[in-house]
Amino acid sequence: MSISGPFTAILVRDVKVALRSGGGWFHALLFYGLFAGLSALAFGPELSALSEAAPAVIWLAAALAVQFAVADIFARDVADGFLYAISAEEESLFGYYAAKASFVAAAIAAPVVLATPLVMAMFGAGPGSITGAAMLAIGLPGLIFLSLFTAAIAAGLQAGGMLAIAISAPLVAPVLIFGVIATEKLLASQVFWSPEAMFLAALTLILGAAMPLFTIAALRAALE
Amino acid sequence: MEQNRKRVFVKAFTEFSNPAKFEALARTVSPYAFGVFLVAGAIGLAVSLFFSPPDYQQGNAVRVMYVHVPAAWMATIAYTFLAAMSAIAFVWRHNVADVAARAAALPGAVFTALALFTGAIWGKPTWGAWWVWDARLTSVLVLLFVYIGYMAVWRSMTDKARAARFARIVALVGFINIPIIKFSVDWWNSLHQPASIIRAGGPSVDGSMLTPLVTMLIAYTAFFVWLVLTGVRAELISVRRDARFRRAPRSVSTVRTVEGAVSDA
Repeated sequence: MSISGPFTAILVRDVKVALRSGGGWFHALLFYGLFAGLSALAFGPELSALSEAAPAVIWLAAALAVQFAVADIFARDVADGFLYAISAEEESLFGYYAAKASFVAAAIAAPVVLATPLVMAMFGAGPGSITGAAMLAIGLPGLIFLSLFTAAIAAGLQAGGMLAIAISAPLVAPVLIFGVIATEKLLASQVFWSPEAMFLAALTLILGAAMPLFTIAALRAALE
Repeated sequence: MEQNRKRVFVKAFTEFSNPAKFEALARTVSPYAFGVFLVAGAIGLAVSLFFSPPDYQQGNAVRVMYVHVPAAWMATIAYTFLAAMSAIAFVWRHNVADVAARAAALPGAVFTALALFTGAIWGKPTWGAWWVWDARLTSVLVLLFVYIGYMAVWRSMTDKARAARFARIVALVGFINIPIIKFSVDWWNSLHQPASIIRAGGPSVDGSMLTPLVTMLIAYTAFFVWLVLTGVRAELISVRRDARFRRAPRSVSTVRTVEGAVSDA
C-alpha cells in the first residue's frame, strides 16, 4: 500500500504534537465536560429534569466539541506549507486524510466517548450510561467526517472558521436528531438497536463514504 | 439513433457552456418565461382566491396552500438545480454553470423563506401553532441555512474563480438535505401530511384544488426560470465589462474604471 508511508508518519507526528504542545487532545474533552457542566447549571439540579436532558446534552456537547477541536486542523497544514509538500509528493491526498481522521478519532473523539458514561451517570441516566456512550461512539465517526469537511472549507476560506462551521452545522442536524432519539429510546427501554440507532449507523456509513471525497476536493481547492 | 441523440445532447451541452451562445438563448427565452409567469400567475391567483371551493375542514384557510406548496416545491427544485449546476461546474469546469448555480441561490432562499412564512400563517389556524419543531419544518429551516451558507461562501472572497471552487463543493454537500426533506414526512411522525400529489395511485387532492395548484406551480417555475436567466445575463455582462476595463489603457481618463477592475480582481 502506497499510503502506509505518509499515513503512519503523519499520524505519529500529529499524536506527538498533540501530546507535547500543551495537550491538544485534552481541549475537546475539557470543552465537553464544561458544556455538560454548564448545561447542568442551566437546567438546575433536579435529577429528573437532568436525566431527561442527558441525551440532548451529550450529543450537543460532543458535536460542538468535535467541530471546534477539528476546525483548524487543515488550516495549520496549509499555512505552514506542509500540505503543499504532501500534495507534491503524493498522487492522492487520501493517505493524509486517513491519517488526520484516525488522529481525530483516537485523540479527540475517543476521550469524549470514554468520558460519556461519567457525564451521563452525573445526569442521573442510571444503567444506560455505558450503552449511551456506545451509542455516541456509533454516531461520532459521522460527526468527525463532517468536522473534517468543515476544517477543509475553513482552510480555504479567508473568512475563517466561524463561517465554515455555520456552513456545515446544518448537516449535523440529521446525526443529532437520530442520535438523541436513539439514546432516549435506549434509556427508556434498554433496547440498543432501535430503528433510530440503525439509521444513525447508516448516517455514519453514508458520511464516511461521501465526505472524504468532498473534503479532499476542498483541500485541493484550498491549495490551488 | 441512441448515438445520434447522445451527440445532439453533447452538442447542446457544449454549445451553451459558451457564454455568448448562452446569452443569446437567455435573451430569447426569458421574455417567454416572464410572459408565462404573468399569465399563469394571474389565472392561478384568480382561481385559487375566487373560483376554487373552500376546504370542508379548513374553510378559506386552505387558500394559503396555493402560495405555500409551490413555494416549498420551488425551494427544493431550486436547490436541486443549484446542485446539478454545481456538479456540472465541478466535473467540467463550466463557468456558466457556476454563474447559473449562484443565480439560483437567492431566489431559492426567498422561496424557502416564503414557504416557512406562509407555512406559519397556515399552521396557526389549522394546527393551532405558528411553528412546531417537526421534521419537515426543521429540515426546510436547515435548507434555508444551507442556502445562506452557500451565498456566504460566494461573498467571502473577491476572487470569483476561487470562490466558485468552494461554492461548488458546499452546494454538493448541502444536497444531502434534499432527500431528507422529501422523506421527512415518511420517516418521522409528523404533523405535516404525507405526499398527496405525486404518489402511487394518483393524487389525493380533488381536481378543483389541483388545477389552481398546478397553475401556480407553473407560474412559480416560470418566474424562477426568468430570475435565473436574468441573473446569469447580468453576471455575464458584468464579467465582460470588467474584462473590457482590464484591457483599457491606464490613462488618467480611465482611472475610475481601472480602480473598479482592480477592486474586482
